[in-house]
Amino acid sequence: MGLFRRPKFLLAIGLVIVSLVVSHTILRFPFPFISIKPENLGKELIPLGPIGDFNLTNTIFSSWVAIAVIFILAYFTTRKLGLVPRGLQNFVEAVLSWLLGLVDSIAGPKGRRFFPLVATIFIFVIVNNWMSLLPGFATVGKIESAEEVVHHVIEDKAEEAEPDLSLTEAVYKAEHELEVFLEWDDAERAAAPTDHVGKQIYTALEGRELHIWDEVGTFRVMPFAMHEQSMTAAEYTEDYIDFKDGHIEDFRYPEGQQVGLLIPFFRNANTGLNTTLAIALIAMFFVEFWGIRSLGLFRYAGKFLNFSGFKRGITTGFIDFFVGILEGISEIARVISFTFRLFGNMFAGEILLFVMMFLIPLALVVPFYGLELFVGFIQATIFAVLTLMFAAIAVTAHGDHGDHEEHSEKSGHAEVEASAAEEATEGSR
Amino acid sequence: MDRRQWLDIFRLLGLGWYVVTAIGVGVAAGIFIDRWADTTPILTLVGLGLGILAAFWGMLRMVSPLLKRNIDRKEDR
Amino acid sequence: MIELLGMILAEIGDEGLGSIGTGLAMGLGALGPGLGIGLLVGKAMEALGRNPESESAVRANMILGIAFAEAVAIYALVVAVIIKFV
Repeated sequence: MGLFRRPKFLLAIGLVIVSLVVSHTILRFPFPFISIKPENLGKELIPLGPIGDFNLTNTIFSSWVAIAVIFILAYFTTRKLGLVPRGLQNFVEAVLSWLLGLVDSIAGPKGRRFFPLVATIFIFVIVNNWMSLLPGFATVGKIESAEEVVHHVIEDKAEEAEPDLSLTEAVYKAEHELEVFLEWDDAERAAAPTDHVGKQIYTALEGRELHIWDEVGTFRVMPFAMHEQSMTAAEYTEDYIDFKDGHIEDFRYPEGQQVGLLIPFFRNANTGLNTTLAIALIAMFFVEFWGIRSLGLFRYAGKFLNFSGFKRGITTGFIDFFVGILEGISEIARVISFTFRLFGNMFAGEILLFVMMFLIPLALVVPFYGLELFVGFIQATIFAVLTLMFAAIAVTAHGDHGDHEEHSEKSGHAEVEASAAEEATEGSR
Repeated sequence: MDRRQWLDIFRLLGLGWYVVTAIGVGVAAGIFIDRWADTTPILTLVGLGLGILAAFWGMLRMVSPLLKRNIDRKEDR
Repeated sequence: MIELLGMILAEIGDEGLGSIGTGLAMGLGALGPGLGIGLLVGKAMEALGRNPESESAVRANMILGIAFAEAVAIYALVVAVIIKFV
């Protein structure tokens, strides 16, 4: 056991133990409420009639902040341009020339027209990802009080249970059922059928963790303290809600404390499916646009609805047609894989940081911050590189495979040869 | 390691999600059309098959230039 | 014995069983790809040690294999998410 004789190793173990003790006595961090849907900061802020309402979510808000950051950076970079780059200009030029080199080496010199889109996607995604590691993201926000949380749950379950009644009537009925359920003892509760509305509400409430703050106010930081800072919504309902005549009369709160959920002002824009889907749709729109512009509408559509093979016999025709359909499916799958790849990675990263913060605050979080920096960069690069690659594939004629050095001589080759080459490559694996 | 190889790595790192979503899109479309046309198990299975084929087709298209380049290089030597 | 099992299952409840399923799906689903990626990289490094000139071919094929193994882990993730939220 040579490891235990090394002072550095002992020091590291000591630090971990000290931080474990500290984190479970003084600096306890509650487990935050995780929702896939971005939280609403202003619900139905701008009514837009038939399209629906504009909800200001925290992901939209922080993507605006990211845009502002990029804008300010661009302004200060271009204010004093010098022939010999210095300071900020030097940094921005280095980043952009790296991106330009990336575009050149995948799509060749003709690919320069893809550069604006690819660079925009890269910069927007990476600024969002890295900004979300700043302090204040996901920990500072306003409070949704316990009253609102319980109300939402009751409304949801009541609407599910009684779709025929109006909302007020359904809620009234559900509140009565909840009161009945609360008066039961454990055995009766366990014996209740699963479609009992009160039981459904209670189970949903048990899954909601509420945080407790020591002071009263609107804007709060995640509680980070010695005392007990969380209870489930079910416990809250049992202890602090007064019923009168089968109807909720009053929501009480513990003396001098506030109970509720934190709705953070800032949340990484890429942890919401809306943002990533929007970026993916923009990217694929431009890919299709470039494809149509360089090949012409009919030739480009011929990639997906391919009838040209029928000239060479019915079997080849059917195979070509089938391959065209596969192309179509894979085009749709690209949009969705763009969306979910970025969303999945960033959302998982956020949860990872939360969980590590919950398990061992301070010590264990630091290496994962490094990991998240890395993942943020990798995901931004993958998004940009794949957009570029799809664009390069789309502007080349059918039967080619996207790499520029190879197509210069080969473009326009027959399907048969391409598939033969593919078989060869498959065999070589 | 030159830039070219880094790019290959990024290109391949995107592959995992692509395969999964292609299959997912096939199945989802199958289920959707099945519900609409009331032919429940058939089109879901067809969609699954199409999704798997599309996944492998798209994968081949993303990977084949890379493999081809490797083979060319081997022949040059 | 079966009574005890029934009591335990009743105590866990539907939601609890769902959580167990999610955990198992993700955990077991990550186990295989993890082993696979480890084996792949190990063998690739072995090949590199024996034949350093073939570096680029080995690396490209290694990453290809990693991408396939990763896809399996993502299947598990999708299944886990479906169990948890649907």
